[in-house]
Amino acid sequence: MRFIQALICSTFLLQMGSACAQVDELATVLQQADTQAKAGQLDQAIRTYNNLISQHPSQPEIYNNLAVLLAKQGKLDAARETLEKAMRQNPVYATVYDNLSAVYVEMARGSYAKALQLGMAPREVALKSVDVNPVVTKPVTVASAKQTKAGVVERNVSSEQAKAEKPLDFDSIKMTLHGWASAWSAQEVDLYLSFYAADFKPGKNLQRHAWAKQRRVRLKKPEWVKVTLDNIQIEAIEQDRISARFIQEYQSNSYNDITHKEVQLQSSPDGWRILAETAL
Amino acid sequence: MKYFSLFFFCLYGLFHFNTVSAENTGLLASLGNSPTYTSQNILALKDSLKNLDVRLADYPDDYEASLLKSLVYFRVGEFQQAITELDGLIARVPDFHLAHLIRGDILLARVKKLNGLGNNSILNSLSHKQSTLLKSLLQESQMRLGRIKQDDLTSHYPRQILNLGESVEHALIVEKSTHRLYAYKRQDNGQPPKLLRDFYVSTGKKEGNKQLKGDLRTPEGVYFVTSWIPEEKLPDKYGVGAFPVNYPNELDQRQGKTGYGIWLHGTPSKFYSRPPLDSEGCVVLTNEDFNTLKQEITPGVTPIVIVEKVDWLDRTNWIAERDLLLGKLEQWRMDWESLDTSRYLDHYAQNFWSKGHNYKSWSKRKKRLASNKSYQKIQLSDISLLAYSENGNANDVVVARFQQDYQSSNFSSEMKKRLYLQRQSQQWKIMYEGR
Repeated sequence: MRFIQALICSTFLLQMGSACAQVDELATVLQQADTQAKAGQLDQAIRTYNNLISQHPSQPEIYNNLAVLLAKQGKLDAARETLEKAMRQNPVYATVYDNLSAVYVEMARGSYAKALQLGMAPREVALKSVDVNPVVTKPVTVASAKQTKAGVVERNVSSEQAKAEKPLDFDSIKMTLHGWASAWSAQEVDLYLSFYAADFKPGKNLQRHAWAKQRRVRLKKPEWVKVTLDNIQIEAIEQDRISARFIQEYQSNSYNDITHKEVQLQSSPDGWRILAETAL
Repeated sequence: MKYFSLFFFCLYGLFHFNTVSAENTGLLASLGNSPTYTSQNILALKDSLKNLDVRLADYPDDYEASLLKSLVYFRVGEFQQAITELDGLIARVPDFHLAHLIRGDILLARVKKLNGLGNNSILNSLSHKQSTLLKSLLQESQMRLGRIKQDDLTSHYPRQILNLGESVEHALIVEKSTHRLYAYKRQDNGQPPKLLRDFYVSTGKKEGNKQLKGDLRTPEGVYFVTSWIPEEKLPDKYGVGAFPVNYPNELDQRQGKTGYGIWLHGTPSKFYSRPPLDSEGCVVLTNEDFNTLKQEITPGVTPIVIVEKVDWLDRTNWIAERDLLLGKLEQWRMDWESLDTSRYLDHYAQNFWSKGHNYKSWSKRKKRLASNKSYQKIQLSDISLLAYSENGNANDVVVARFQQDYQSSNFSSEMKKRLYLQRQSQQWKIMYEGR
């Protein structure tokens, strides 16, 4: 992670000095939280993350990693709330989704234990942490500190540049695809459909509305479904638009197949969205 | 009685992350999807939420209302409110096992599809004892949830309570089929009684009407609370107190029913509530509910009518039925007063009995007495009329209890009297008369 940050930082150093200083600061603090957590100083690490969140409130990864520590402490309710916040930042985040599921299952187990006097010992819930990508961050504190006219202009310019030069965030694209597959597996139609862009073209002369209706029926039909993705290859088409090819393994109680697929994803403020989907 | 067409599973629907993250669109879309769901159902749910809020406003410790509220929240997609309500409830009643079970389900519903209460892989491998417990919690939930489906009870009145005398402030009805106890309060000026509150109750382990000692059934009929036993004098299994009732009553004894010790009582200290069919014949309330109800019960006075199903009547029909029976009683009084013994005896059934009497000896005695009097004056007051019917109307009994002031040319008496009237080929006949 440090390596990536260093790389990103050095790339940007040429064009945007101040933004990189912020990234550097974020990286330092993240490193600090990580060290504290590894040393078993969970309370300090949690405090560090909470501080980070107040400065970078829209970064789901920080919420997620905070939740990892809270769950480790057995504070499932706090972990749950934190993960729900992460979901609100980016509802298609596969890791956050998985972590939240794990927390819910464990909380449910606790309630069942009380209901039926099961005598189940509480288990430690090991959640998955994710790398925090500092580039996506839009620090709020620095901007608000610089209220001079010149400062605002300067910041606008530099964020324009940041956008232009932003390297593809392959992890977030992969997570979107996995999130899409896991929504499908959970037969959660609304969540599944939310992965598609508003101007998604279903093809086969289908209107989007008719397509959504059809998907709704088909997704719900089997008793269970498992969709897994393998060999994901991502290629940039243009800025904010990529093409991904992968092998999709579909299993259900009634039907199994393996398909090679290509999807096009469009970046939007809510995350990556599917623009086109083709079986190869 | 009409019921909202929403069913148990309807309440126990599926809610997922999408309905939460989408404070916006998710809910209505996913509800529209569900085949059993219509906008009418949602309105009904919103209505029940309102009713539950009324219950909680009147009785903040109505824990059942709190539980039902969380389920309604859950059903309308307000996950956070559902959990907050449940957590508040559990903090107050940590032994409410059903609340814990439902909390588990609501949490799990965020992750996977539920097929009904407690039906999921986490609860797959339970011991025999645990699965018995789970089953009894399911039964309890069905009974408690049943209340939410019931129509507004403020516009319907139970035929079981047709009149309450001035000295009778409250009357109780236990409905075995739904495991509810309804507490009614007498209203003045001939108005129907008012429902104060109703509670979930456990009854005998075996379904059906009690016949014999040890048959583990709860008797059905018109009873009265006879006494009060405080907690200190009771083993823990009776909870915070007990009100014995007069089973077997005069009619039960006549029908050869046996057994004793049918009480209204509380719950052992280590449970919050008990499964629906769990007692040896007693009617069991939670300790909290028992303590609330205790204030409305006067030993020797308070009637408790136990039925399989309550006959709910609308206001017009309730009043008609009440007037019919009050009229019947008044006709009996007038015919008695008239000294025309044949008119008087026409009120009595052929299978009539009283202490030391059958129809034959009773009519002989009454004829003899009347011949020695020049006038009789009878006044009835403090009249209570309580109805019990078995198998619809096949065995329809009304118990009249009243104060009777009697005066004649050669005799005067005041007494509390009890009559059992039975509908025989569309005619109400007195089948028992006693003090």
